[in-house]
Amino acid sequence: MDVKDIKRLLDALAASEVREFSYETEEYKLNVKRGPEPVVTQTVTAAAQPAPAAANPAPQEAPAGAAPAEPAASEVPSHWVEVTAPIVGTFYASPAPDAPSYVKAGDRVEPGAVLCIIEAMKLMNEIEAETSGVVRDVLVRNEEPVEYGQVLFRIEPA
Amino acid sequence: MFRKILIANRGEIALRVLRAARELGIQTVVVYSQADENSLPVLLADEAICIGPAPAGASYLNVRNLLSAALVTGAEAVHPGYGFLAENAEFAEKCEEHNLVFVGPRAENIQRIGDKAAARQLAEEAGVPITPGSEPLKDLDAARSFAERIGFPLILKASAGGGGRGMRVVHSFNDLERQFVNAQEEARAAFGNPELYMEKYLEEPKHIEVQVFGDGQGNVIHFFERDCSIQRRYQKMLEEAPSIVDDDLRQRITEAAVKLARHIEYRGAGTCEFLVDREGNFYFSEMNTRIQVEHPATEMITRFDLVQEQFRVAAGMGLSLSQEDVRVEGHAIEVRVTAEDPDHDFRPSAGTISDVHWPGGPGIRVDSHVYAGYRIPPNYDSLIAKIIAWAPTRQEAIARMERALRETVIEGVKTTVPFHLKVLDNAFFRRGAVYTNFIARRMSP
Repeated sequence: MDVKDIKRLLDALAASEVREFSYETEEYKLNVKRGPEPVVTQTVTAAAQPAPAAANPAPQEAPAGAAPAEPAASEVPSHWVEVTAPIVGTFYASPAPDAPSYVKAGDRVEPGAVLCIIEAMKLMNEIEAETSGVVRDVLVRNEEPVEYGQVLFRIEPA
Repeated sequence: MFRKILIANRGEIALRVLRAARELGIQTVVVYSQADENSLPVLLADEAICIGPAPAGASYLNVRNLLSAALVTGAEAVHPGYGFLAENAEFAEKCEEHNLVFVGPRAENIQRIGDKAAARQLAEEAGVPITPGSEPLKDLDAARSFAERIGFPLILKASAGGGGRGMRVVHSFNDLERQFVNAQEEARAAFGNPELYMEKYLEEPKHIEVQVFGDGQGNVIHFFERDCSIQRRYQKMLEEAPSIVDDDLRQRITEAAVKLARHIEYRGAGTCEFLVDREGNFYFSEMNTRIQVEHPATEMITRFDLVQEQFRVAAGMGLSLSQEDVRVEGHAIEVRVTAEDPDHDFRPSAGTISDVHWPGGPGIRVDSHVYAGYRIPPNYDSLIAKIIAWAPTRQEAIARMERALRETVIEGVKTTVPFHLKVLDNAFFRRGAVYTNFIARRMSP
């Protein structure tokens, strides 16, 4: 299988409903996994709510050295759900260096949707959403170390 | 020397290690549980990483998070302090697997000497006296036949044991069956291993331990000994250095400790514990493969920083001094101040320290992570400070410690300070008639 074949395969997968695909021969193993379907950003609530999501640059676009803007605590509505790091490790926003982020502010997620990866001791641990709702804040930059209990995302339940 | 190290502990020992590292120009990463967010080592560290919720099993014993914290911060070495993972061979091994230096002995050393039965065997091989003792006991009959041979009193101990759990003194055959079953169950509950062995029980022994240091290549020196006979339920409360023994015994006991450490090519700081009977016979009881709570008593009489030496040896720089360079000067006493109520059977007294004033003046050292406004979490041990007094003689050290404890103010929680003052005032203590049953026999109301 060469690059052209892979491209054809990916195109075929993109046109289908398949979200995960593995192909193994004696020489290689190919794993293709598609991120959660991005949902059109719901901006309906924006009028009623302060708009912290808009104030937050997507983590991978943040300039090096600058921390993502974090809205003041008073701006965070109390019903939003915080997703915290269950382990210490390195935060990865996407499944691979050049792949798009699992989620960005404004994305809709369902329980079980992968939000990020935390690498600990060379093991990739997928962190999943437990609530359905809209991701409002992504608070950690790609490849940043995270500690236990650190808030990674804020989700507005919906 | 290391550029950056991780301190895998909490409380006063985390602070002690941080201080040693900082003086050597080493950057410090302190890990902490959510209950310790506002503790002094966390506030003073160059970097601090939360590794879990309050229960130690999910934080300070969480190997994955600890190692992950070391790796993401770029630490080169891990200092385990005492307790938690300090004597966990598997943890030491995992550190090395991830190219982190474990500041302590090799995993294999921890493993062998940490097993009580194996340790006795190693001592025997090294020609170090041990109390007459049994092999691991298969059953009650094996215990009976050992008792017939050696005679009472005897002590049952857990093979995997420590800290007094699984230990039972037996005075007669009538006692044996009940105590055997009790000790077995206690050992099973505490260590997941019910195996017991038996030893001759010494009445009124002194607990004397020798501080040793090895480079891992067979070079071992000692930093003389401490007397830790003042214990309550096998927990040390007050330690002295040097002990009150004659020079002949001192020489024999320190030589024995060095022989054992040399036999296993020990690396780093360690302590060989002995029981000494009234006739001056001494018997090896166990080796602790870590820095100990009471190490400052030794530091005060030798004017030497043992924790910094741990870093040098771990960094492969070898021992920085030879035996001739180690000299004893004066006498040091350390008291362990715990947040416990001595008037109510030492029950824990967690809470917020509303005010604190530590003693000062000549010859006083205070190692404490506590400050005014600090809340003592209920999740960990109750040690809040070690106060150490040094003076040219034992008598002067006692006077200095009394003076220091009277200056000490700790408000908001009950502490053992008043109890320590009573010990210092006790006539038996003052003339050095101190054995491991001192508190039970001399201090009971």
